[in-house]
Amino acid sequence: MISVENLSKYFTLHILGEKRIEACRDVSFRVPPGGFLGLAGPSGAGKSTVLKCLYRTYLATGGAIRYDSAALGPVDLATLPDRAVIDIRHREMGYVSQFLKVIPRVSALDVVMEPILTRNGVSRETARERAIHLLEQLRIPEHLFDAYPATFSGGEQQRINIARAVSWKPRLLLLDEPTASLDKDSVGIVLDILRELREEGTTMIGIFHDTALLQSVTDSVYTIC
Amino acid sequence: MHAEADYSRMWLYLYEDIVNFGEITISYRYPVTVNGRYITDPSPIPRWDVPKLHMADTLFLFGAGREKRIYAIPPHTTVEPLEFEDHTFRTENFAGKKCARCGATDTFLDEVIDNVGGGRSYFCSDSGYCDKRSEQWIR
Amino acid sequence: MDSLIRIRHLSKRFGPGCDRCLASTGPEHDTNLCRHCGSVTACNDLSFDLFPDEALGVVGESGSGKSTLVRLMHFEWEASGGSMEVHRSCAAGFLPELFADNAEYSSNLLGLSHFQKRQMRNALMGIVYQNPHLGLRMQVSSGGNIAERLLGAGWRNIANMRQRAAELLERTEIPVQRMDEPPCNFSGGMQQRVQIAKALSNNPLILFLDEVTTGLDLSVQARVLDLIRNLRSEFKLSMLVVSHDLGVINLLCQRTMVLKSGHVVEQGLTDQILQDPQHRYSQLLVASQL
Repeated sequence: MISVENLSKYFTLHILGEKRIEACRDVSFRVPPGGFLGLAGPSGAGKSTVLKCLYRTYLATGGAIRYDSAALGPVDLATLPDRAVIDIRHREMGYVSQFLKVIPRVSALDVVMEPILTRNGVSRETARERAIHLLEQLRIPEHLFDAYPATFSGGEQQRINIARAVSWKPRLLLLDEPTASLDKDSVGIVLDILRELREEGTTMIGIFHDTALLQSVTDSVYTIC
Repeated sequence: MHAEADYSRMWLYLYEDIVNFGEITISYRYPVTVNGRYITDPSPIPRWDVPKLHMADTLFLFGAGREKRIYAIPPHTTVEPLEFEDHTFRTENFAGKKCARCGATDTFLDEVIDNVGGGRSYFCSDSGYCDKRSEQWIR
Repeated sequence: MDSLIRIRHLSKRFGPGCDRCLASTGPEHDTNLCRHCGSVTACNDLSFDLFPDEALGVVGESGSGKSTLVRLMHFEWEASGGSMEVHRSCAAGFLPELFADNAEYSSNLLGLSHFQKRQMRNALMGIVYQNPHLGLRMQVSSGGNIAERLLGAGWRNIANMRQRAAELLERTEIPVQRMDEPPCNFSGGMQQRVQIAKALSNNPLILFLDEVTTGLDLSVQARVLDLIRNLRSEFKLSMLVVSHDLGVINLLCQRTMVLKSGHVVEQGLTDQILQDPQHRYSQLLVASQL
């Protein structure tokens, strides 16, 4: 499904006297279709960098990110033209960040509904039902459905974030500490949702700060040092 | 404007007139399309006489002194006043009207629409003749 | 997917120009002014594609060539060189002579007659300027401002035009009972929304937004941006969003181009430009923002 070969990322800071910062080097791993790979390593090792390179928020400095796209066939995400990356993001690749980054002044329900509506080609009613189901599953109180997530607590925001990322059932899902700010019960719910998604065929790559958690949900672990 | 047949400003003027007064209030210089292509305002011909320009036997010459230009409408040429589908061109209806100043019923009249109230009044087109009649009236 | 518009090597110079203009201007010289002949190279060798249903951001400081680019594409100014082509699907219907047999893209639009450019603009384009005085007739009613575009496109029925104007004003959150008032009576945010209504009146495929929220209060700015965002998903428009504000670009655009002294120094996905800018100037821009 996805195979990363000798991925490296340096930042060259032109405005700080051409300072070079190494974020990761020679990262290589392979995830089979339907697999769940965990990324481990000390903080600052470059775990998030790797995910951001896969999602193309960062431009890889070297190496290849070979991905078997359902829409476009085999591609290298490190060098694929921007438009094709947008296409893949739109159709098959999702990303959950550590922090909620949504459009301001959009209600929680709309935040979750929006990707379903624009990607899955379902009716507004169906999208709404699926979004409400997810929000209920994640124990977001009903009176918050039409409120703006910017005003929510950290844990609530994070659950909205997850609901939005999984709502449209992406083919490949990148998870950057999706459970970092959640209590134990919420973590359990999120893991259930991820499990359901995997059963439907989603391939995942994730970072979890909790080692026990990492071991329990993933089926292989790659350690970056 | 003419080269690109961009006459939307003229049309917009008519639109605003209709929106503000419920009808087109232009009494002379009523814009016309000549030969299906060029828009011109046949100043100083009153609206009443505009239909006479259409397929006329005569050549019309218009001088625009300030612009240092002369316009011509050739004979046997189509001349159509600008109009909307739901607000067609109309000439003034003078039947049974008389001059509000001198009371004449046998002269050519001008229609004047009040830009504020929208009221309509009629005056002799030949103001010299109207003056003369008014003086007689007073006497 | 094919692009809607292809821009290649687009350039605009003001002044006589000399053979040292290009060597003495550009991002590495931090100027677009040639010190030998005094000419300004406002845009140099810009090449990019605008795709259907995408919002492409154009960022850069004032004098980087952003607004010049819009005015060239909107045929307000004549380019000094380069080409602009549209895809067959959006213009072959009304200007078939621009397309050779089986050609996917038109001939160079920059070489068209004024009349053809006007046709192209009336059929395909809408524009919203930073300064509403450029996009609106301030003394003419708001409905009339919209009607002007419809009249240009051949509409000749007052009732129909008024209905269309009312729909657009309602969509852009202007109270319909104020449609016969001139925009000079309105606040800055309302004037921008009337401009947007006017720009949308001909169902354009391409909308140019030139610093549309610059100078508005924050809350008004937010409302205008929300409107634009909703309209984009509703009308399936392509937009060229020019702004010096990375926040605006981040909110509206998936792809972004960074301009500096008339050159494109970087183009990429918006989140990549914001989080991993490559060029020195993009890095400076992002660093100054935060």
